[in-house]
Amino acid sequence: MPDRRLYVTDAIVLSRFDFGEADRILTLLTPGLGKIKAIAKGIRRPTSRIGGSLEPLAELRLQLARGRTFDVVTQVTMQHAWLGLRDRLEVTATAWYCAELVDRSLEERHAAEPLYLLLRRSYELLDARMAPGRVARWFEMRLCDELGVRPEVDRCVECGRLLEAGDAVRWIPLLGGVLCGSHPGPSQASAGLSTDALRVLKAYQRMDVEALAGLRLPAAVEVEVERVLGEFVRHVMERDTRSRRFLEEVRAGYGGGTSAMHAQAPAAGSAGVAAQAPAAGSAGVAGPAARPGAAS
Amino acid sequence: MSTPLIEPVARLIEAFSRLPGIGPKTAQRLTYHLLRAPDAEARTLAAALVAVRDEVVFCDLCFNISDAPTCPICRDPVRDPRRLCVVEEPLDVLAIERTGEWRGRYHVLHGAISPMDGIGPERLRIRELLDRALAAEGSGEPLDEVILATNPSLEGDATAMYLAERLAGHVGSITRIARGLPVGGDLEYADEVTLIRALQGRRAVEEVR
Repeated sequence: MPDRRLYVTDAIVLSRFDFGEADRILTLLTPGLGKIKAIAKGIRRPTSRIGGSLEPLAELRLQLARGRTFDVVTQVTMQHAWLGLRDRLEVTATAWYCAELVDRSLEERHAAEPLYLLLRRSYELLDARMAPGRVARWFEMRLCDELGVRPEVDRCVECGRLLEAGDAVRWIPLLGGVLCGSHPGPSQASAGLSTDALRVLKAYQRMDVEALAGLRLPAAVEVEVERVLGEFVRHVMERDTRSRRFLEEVRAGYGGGTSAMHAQAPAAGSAGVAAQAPAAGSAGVAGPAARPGAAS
Repeated sequence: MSTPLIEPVARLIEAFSRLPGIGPKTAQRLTYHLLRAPDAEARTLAAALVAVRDEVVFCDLCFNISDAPTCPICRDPVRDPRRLCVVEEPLDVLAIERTGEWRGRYHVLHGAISPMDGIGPERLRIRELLDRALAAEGSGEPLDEVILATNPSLEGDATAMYLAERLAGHVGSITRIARGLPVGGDLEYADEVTLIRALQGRRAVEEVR
């Protein structure tokens, strides 16, 4: 008769901390159970048979035994190691950032299959050497979508008027998106949003990630999009993410700009990422939107 | 209705339970053990606790624990000052010293980069390591080798990558401790990541000899 205390699930380790002599408490993201805490006993000993597998940035299949306080990891099989996430600091820092956003978005034991699939896909893309900045922006936009707080980039958040090309708009995370020039907005209203950045935000909402990987954007636009999406995510999370600060520091070490960050193209064909630029007008984005300026 | 604990007992239980790896039950057991133990045992423990705070400092150079401004390893003229082994914790120094293989000096970071726990480079002794490398370079005798002996975990690897980027061009060579199978281990039971790393880090047989 099967042991009803045991169950098997796919999981990604979001974070962990040492506990007792050689144990670790893990925060796991699973498709069916959402975020759960589990204990891995003896994992810190060099002779542990599961220690090397139970690390973040990998997809695992775990067998767990239900426990009183924590479920106990009894078996581990590696599904995807994604070792490419550990070989470049900027990639590692981006993967950490994505994991922290998911961790902060979820309560324990609430089913979270869409977020699980989103995190897994972002790790696949990073492992396939897609530019970390693009993956991070795509992840942020999709995360907001999944959390039901998709930023409004087509209509004014105050009057609902469909925005036209060339309209002066401002980015107001507090109100959920862009505000047209007819409204004063909150007193601490932020600076205007450039037309190019608005187009790129629309592209992040409408284009699939394979097409996003092939976009060639000026560094200034990438920096602006990163800033405004970062503000939006901070507003949604209601605080700064710790790993974002580290990510920014790492990127400063790479030359301080997104142009360097996006210098590498993803390997064509790997993990489904293609390097081609999207066709003009694809997914509702006009050619100039995909290429708001000179190629970087 | 449960009997409330008298204040000094409750305070000691609370103090023990703040220690890493000690939960409320263990804290209670330790407290009641000390209550039953001979008076001298408890006082010896108390004196040792006070002494460790009063007399132990961090070495000014390597940040290992020491009973003087400079630790015995940094004071030792036989140890090669141009070769540094960078570790996360003072206990790692003890582990490497037990091997008797390392004749250089150390630098203790006091942790590893772990952004999700709020531990960035500024919380570690990284600035001091870079200053050490730059000072050696400025004196005309740059460090010959820096071994990055942080743990083979995600955080340890990230810390090693961060240090390698910052030290590059300022020291002779930067190396990372090898990763792979433990001695006495069984290949059949090794996890996939360890096996992959062991294969990636394979060496020619002549080199191993």
